[in-house]
Amino acid sequence: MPRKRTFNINKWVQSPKWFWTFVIASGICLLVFIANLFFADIHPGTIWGLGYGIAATVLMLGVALFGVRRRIVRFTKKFGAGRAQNWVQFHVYAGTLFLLLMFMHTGFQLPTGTLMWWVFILSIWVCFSGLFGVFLQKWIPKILTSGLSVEAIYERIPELTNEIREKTEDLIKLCTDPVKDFYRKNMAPALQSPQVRLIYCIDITGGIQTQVKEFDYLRKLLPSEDKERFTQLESYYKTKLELDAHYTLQKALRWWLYLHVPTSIILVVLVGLHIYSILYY
Amino acid sequence: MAGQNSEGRKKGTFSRLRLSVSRRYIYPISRNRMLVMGAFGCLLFLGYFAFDSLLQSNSFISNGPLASSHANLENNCLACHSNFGDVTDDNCATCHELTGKKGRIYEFSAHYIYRTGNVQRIKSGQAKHAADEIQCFGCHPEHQGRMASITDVGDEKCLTCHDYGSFDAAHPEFEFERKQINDDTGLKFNHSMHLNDVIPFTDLVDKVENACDVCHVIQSDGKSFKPLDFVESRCGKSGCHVKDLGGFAHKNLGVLKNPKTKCQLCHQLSGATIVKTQPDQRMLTRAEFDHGPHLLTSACTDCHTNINESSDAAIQNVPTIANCQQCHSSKLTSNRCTTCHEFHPNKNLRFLLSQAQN
Repeated sequence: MPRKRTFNINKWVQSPKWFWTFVIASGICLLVFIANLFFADIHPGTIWGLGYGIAATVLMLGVALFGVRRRIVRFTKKFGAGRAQNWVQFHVYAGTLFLLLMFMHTGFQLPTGTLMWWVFILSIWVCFSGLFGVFLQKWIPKILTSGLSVEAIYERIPELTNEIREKTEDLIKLCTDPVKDFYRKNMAPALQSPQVRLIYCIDITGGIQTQVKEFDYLRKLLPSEDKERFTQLESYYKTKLELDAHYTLQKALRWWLYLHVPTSIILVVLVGLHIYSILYY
Repeated sequence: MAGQNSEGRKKGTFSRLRLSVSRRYIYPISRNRMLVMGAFGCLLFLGYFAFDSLLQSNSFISNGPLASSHANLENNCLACHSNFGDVTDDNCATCHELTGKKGRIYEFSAHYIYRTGNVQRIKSGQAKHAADEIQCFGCHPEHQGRMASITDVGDEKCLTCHDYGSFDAAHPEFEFERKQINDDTGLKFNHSMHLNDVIPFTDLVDKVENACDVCHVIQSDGKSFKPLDFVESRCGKSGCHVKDLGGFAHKNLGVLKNPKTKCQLCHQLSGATIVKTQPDQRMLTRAEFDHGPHLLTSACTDCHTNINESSDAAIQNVPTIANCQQCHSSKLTSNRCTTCHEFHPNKNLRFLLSQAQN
């Protein structure tokens, strides 16, 4: 009898407590917006619209504190909010709620002014780049641990690559000419430095297997005394490719922040400019 | 790394650790670079803002282009805005109301006498309207784009006070119908007889559908009809009544002194005096009705359905709201409040506003 498959949200989210708090908060926001539809105009300048805008700004500032978390950790510890997990969860869910409130502020309509357009686009960009980061944080460690036989710290990868190159160069001195030719043509360029290959983002194991397949052709033709060294070479090369996979994916794990952090800083400043212009005019 | 995890241990391919494990594993080492990138982006925007402000265009922080009628104010924010203040009605009045404080047709109080001309409506609402004063930008928001029509006010503005929903849903019946307001014209006139037994048999019209035009002459604006004029209208010139009444000129007051004149043939009498006639044929006191576009698509009797059976001159043949709702619905013709209603009263009523405020 087939097993009954049930959807359990707790398996998908890191902290169900934060997730359900977010769902309830979003529901309340939408209910308020529906009430707004009945009782007043949908416009950023009304009391309702300003309320959404103020709430969104407060959330945005709270979310932005994540960037200076370490500087204020002593202060936050006093209030029991010092746990990194809470900070991350608040950052993710409050950031998403900020986007909802921003849409409510604009009445789910496109803005008209240049500054408003920038704030609108950057809000969407920052939120989605953040969610993209969450996805990477969950997905990349999983495939790195499940698909590869080695683990490496990002900062050590260049050093480890050098070590492999040195080992292979020592080994190749003992090999016959066909192996040396093979090394020169197929392995040496790849061993020079860590290499980013996009194929690892799509298929981490397949990307490695296709490259080590070339060893099988030559192995059949080699004399028995070379086969052992050649297998050792293949092992080194495979390790190097796995290091490349680590390098590629861990780089993505870090580089998505370049999509998120600088634009977040710009967004905070532009929101400030928006508030100034609203108060001034 | 799997190959080793502490000094002095060695596993797999690699040798001992020669590099300490970074404490900043989660955060990239180039954190400052991101801050610099963000700061540089901010500087670009702030620089552009400063440049834009210095050139007095302020297009960067503007909510959007002004409507074409205000386009000349595009670079002059302070023409409408006050520093750290609101867009005040006084600023709008700089151009839109040049007649001083008294009798301002744009003020909310003026809304009370729209079309009715009833000053008492203002006085009875004095306490309320002061609190309800609506600022111009409340209904006429700007910065909606060059082609936006800021005079095109949506129903939601009206519905904040008038809770009628849409025209075809919960709009009340027309007042003359709801209150059965007497629409006596002061005249004796048998519509039925003229339409059925007289006009079709004269050479005044080629077909019976045009019989109404014989007496009812449309105004030049096409909206409404001229007051009935026995002398100028085709029925006056037809010869029928001139002969019957002895060839007198109707506007000559002298005829009223002539006891032989049969005034009561057409006019109602109240004792020994003639009842004042009602030249204005409008029945809608709060709304505007434009006959022009309706006459292009409909015959008079499509709306005034019972006119053929009416034996008097009264205008009770005006259709009820149900007749209008057949076409003016959310799925067909416009059914917005402003299709028929205006918020600001006619400027000609300015004297009434002054009177009310005094």
